[in-house]
Amino acid sequence: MDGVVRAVFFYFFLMVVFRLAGQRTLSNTTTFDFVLLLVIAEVTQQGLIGEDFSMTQAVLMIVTLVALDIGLSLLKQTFPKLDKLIEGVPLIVVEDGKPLKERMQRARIDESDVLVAARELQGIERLDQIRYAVLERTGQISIIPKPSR
Amino acid sequence: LSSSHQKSTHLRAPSSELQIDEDLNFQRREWQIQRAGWVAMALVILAALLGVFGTGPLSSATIEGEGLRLEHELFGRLERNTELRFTIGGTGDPVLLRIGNGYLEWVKIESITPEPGKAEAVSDGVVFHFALQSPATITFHVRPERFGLVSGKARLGQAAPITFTQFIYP
Repeated sequence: MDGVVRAVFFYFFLMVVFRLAGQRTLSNTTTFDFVLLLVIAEVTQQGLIGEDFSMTQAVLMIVTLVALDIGLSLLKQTFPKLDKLIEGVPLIVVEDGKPLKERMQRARIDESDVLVAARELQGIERLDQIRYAVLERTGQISIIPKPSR
Repeated sequence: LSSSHQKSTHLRAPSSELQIDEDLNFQRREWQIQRAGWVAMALVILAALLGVFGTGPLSSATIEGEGLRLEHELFGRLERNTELRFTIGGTGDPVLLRIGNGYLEWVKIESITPEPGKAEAVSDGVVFHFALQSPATITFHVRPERFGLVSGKARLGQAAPITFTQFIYP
């Protein structure tokens, strides 16, 4: 029983923490984000399994976490509000080549982040070639280029 | 069109010029199996909450014996501490509590509360000597070192032994 309870606790605890941290925080943008992710995983593991190193405990933990994920995804399909609450909403950050400063500042991204995504995804060179840049719910920035003329 | 596409013409995707290895029959079967799997996972979690894998209402057991009562878990885990809680009602100074060898071969005793004054190995087990005023509780914290079905015997002094059974998960 305690294994299931621990798994449920950590699932929702981490969900809240990452939700508060914002989409960009751990969307593997930098090396340090990656390191932070590893450290969090390591620390969580201690609290998650406690003193119990049996295979049964590991199996129960995995089943519980995966089942929570499936259950929540089903709930999110049924209740769009829950989906918003858990996953957040996308945000337009560049429109017609013009950065929307306040939005970007609030979302803690800057022009260089947008340009990185533009180069990686579309091979775009300059901001004014971007029609839309959107900070997606996943934390990735997606780029829609202006139609080439 | 490839032959695999022609097999499932009634399910043909709208963009048939796409070079894609779609197989909707397989896909449907996969979804069915996945759903069955979800139900199975839910049942496992329910069972775990009830204590089928240890610590829960279905896992606790009480055995009444002559002069003593034993509360223990029915389901334990390998290398995870579990408790044997004896409530001693009988008298005797010291109180002699004997645990059979069969059980002691399966578990390592991590600690006993209160500490016995003396432990004595006898032919079929270990006799622990406690100085206590009954009724009192003696708790053995034990760590299973093998998995499977284990049964143990305990007796107070010369009284009839009680037998308890545990299943240890790997």
